[in-house]
Formats: sequence, structure tokens, C-alpha cells
Amino acid sequence: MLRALLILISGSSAAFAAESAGMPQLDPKSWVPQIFWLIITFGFLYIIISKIVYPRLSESIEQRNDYISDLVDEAKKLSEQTEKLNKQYEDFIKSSNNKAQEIIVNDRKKLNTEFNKKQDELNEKISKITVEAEKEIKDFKSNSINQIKLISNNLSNELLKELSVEELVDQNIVLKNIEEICKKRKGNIS
Amino acid sequence: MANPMQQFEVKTIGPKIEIGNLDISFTNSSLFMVITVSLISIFFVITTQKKSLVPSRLQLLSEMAYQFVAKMISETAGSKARPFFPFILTLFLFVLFCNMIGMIPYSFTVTSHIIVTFALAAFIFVGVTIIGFIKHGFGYLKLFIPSGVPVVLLPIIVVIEVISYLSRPISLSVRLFANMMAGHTMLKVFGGFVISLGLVGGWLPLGFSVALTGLEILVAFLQAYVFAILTCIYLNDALNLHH
Repeated sequence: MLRALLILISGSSAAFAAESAGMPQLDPKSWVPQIFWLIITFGFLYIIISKIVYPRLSESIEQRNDYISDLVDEAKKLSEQTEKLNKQYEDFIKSSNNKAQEIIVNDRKKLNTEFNKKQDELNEKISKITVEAEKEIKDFKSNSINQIKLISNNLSNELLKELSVEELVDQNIVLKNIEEICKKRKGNIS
Repeated sequence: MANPMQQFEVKTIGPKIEIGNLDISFTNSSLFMVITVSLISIFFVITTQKKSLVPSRLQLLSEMAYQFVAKMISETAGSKARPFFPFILTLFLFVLFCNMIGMIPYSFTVTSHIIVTFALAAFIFVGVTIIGFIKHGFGYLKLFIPSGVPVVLLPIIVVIEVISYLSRPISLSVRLFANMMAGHTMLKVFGGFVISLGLVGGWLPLGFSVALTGLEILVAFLQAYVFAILTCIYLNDALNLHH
């Protein structure tokens, strides 16, 4: 390789010598046609690649990349949407739960107040009735004593009348006696 | 034993053609250049005809080549090198197919000739230098002044940098040419051993030949890759002045 370089630098006459020594690469006679055909073929290939192959390949690859990125974007969008819907759904469930809880609490309260009210009313009614009944009993009690007094008086009068000892018995003494009896039995009545 | 260098001889095919004083005869080298270019053109034009969303196998092959080169360019030279993509792709495919077709027995390896690789390298060198001067004007000369070098050392460094810059086309061309020539020469020598040692001793060099063929296919790909990636690196120097 070093020899080849030296030969390259020292000129073509030396290169001829090298060619005869066994390296066809250093024969300057072959250089011009090689360069000429290299330019022709390489230029042709460059034109084919830059005008036909490169645009086609870059287009198809870009198209594919675009398509893929479009799909990825869409997938991202859809997943975002799903998340949003999921959240909405959860929120809805939460809010409806809260609402249900509220309704239950409210109804319970309402029922409680109504129940208490009814109970109060009932209690009041009961106490009223009790008071009335007590009064009635009291009235009846006092009435009955008077009645008994009256009946006994009348009865005794009747008896005395029947016995026709009207004049003999003082009315006052009879009353006094009845009252005494009554006093004695008071405990029994009440 | 046959001369191992015989395979590199350039022979004129058909009549001698001359324009003025220039000899432009069609040779075996020209023939293989034409074959290479035809193969690449036919393959890529046919496989890219149907731009289907889901590529067929052959379409995938051409797209892989495209993406391989696209990755290579974007990693070394960045997005500014996009306009040079067709050139790099052409260069890579041309060198790769020349190397690979050269691996077929009785064929001719175009890239095993220093003048071919040197012409390519010189074209790249001149083109890159012109691009550098167009992009940066005389500021492109800053390429020869690495940053962070003490002033005392600058004269030496600049001389070294200039020499290394000027030797780029030589190193680029000689690397490819020497690899190709050495590989094919070696294959030929081992092939000669197989014949000369005959049925008894020929098996060992035959095994070597087989192994070397595999190695040479690898080298053929690798050298095409190196040639293209070095072009990208030079292009990067011209497009994005880093120093």
C-alpha cells in the first residue's frame, strides 16, 4: 500500500514500472476509460435515484409514518375521551349516591317529625280525656254524695210519713243523723 | 500458479473508442459498472413502484436500504445534510453493489481499482470543500484551528490539520481500494493453493477460502458503509463547522 502511494506521488513513469511489476491498477492507460465510464454510470445512477427512487421511497415512508402517527393520535384522543366518560360516569354515580343518601335522611327526618307530632297530639288527646274523665268522676262522686243525702232524706221522710210519726220527729235531727252515717261511710265511697 | 493480480487487469471489450486524444473504450470494468448500475436501478425502480402502506418483501428491502442511509446521515451530519441524501444513497449503493458483485467468481471488482475509488473520493473532497466555502466563506478555514489549542502550538497544529484534510481523498480511496484488492488477491492465492496442493493437501486452503469468502462479504459491506459514513462526516464538517 505504501509502495502504491509512493508510486502515485512519484509520477506515471514510475507507475508504468509498477504495472509491469504486477499491479494492473497502476496502468495509466486504463485510467481514462475507467473515469469516463464511472462518470457515465454513476451519473446515470444518481439521476435514477434522485429523480425516481428517492422521491418514491421518501413518499411511501412518510405516508406510512403519517398514517401511523394519525392512528396514534386518534387512539390517544379516544383514550382521553374514555377517561372523560369514565370520570363522568363515576361522578354521576357519586352524585346520585349522595342524592339517595340525602333523600333517605330527609325522609327519615320528616317521618320522625310527623311521628312525634302525631304522638304529641295523641298524648294531648289522652291527657285531655283523662282530665275530663277525672272531672267527671269527681263530679259524679260529689253528686252521688248529695244524691245519697237527698235520697236518704226523702227515704227517711217517707218512712216517717208511713209510720205517721211526722210530728214526733224533728227534721233536723234526722238530717244530722244521716250526715253522721255519711261521714262514717265516706271512706268506703271514696 | 496463476498470477493473483491477473484478475485486476482491464481489458477492452469491442472496438477502441477515442474522443480527441482520450481513450474511452468499453472495458470489463465499464461492463461491471453498467451491470451494477443496471441491477441497482432495476431493483429499486421495480420495488418502489407500488407504494403500498404495508410493504411487500422487496419493497421492504429497498425501504430498509433507504432507512439505513437516512439513519447514517442524520446521526453523523444532522438535518442539514438532507439535500445530499440522494448522493449518499447513490454512493453507498454503488460501492456496496460493486463490492458484492465482485464477490461472484469470474467477475470484476470495479472498486479494486485505485483510480475508481480515487475519482469518487476526489469528487467528494472537492464537493465538500466547495460546500464548506459556500456555507461559511473564508470562515471555513477555521476548520484548521481546533478550539482550545495554545497559541504557541497553533502553527504546528494548523499544518497538521491541513495535511490531514488534504489527505482525506487519499485515505478514503486507498482504504476501499486496498481492502478490495487485498481480499481478492488473498482469495486467489488460497484458490491457487487448493489447486497446487491437490486432493491430498488442498482441503485446508479450501476451508480457508470458504471462511475468507464469508469475511470478504462482510468486508464488502463494511467498506461500503465506511465509505458512505466518512463522506457523511466530511459533509458534516462542511455543513456544521464544529471547531
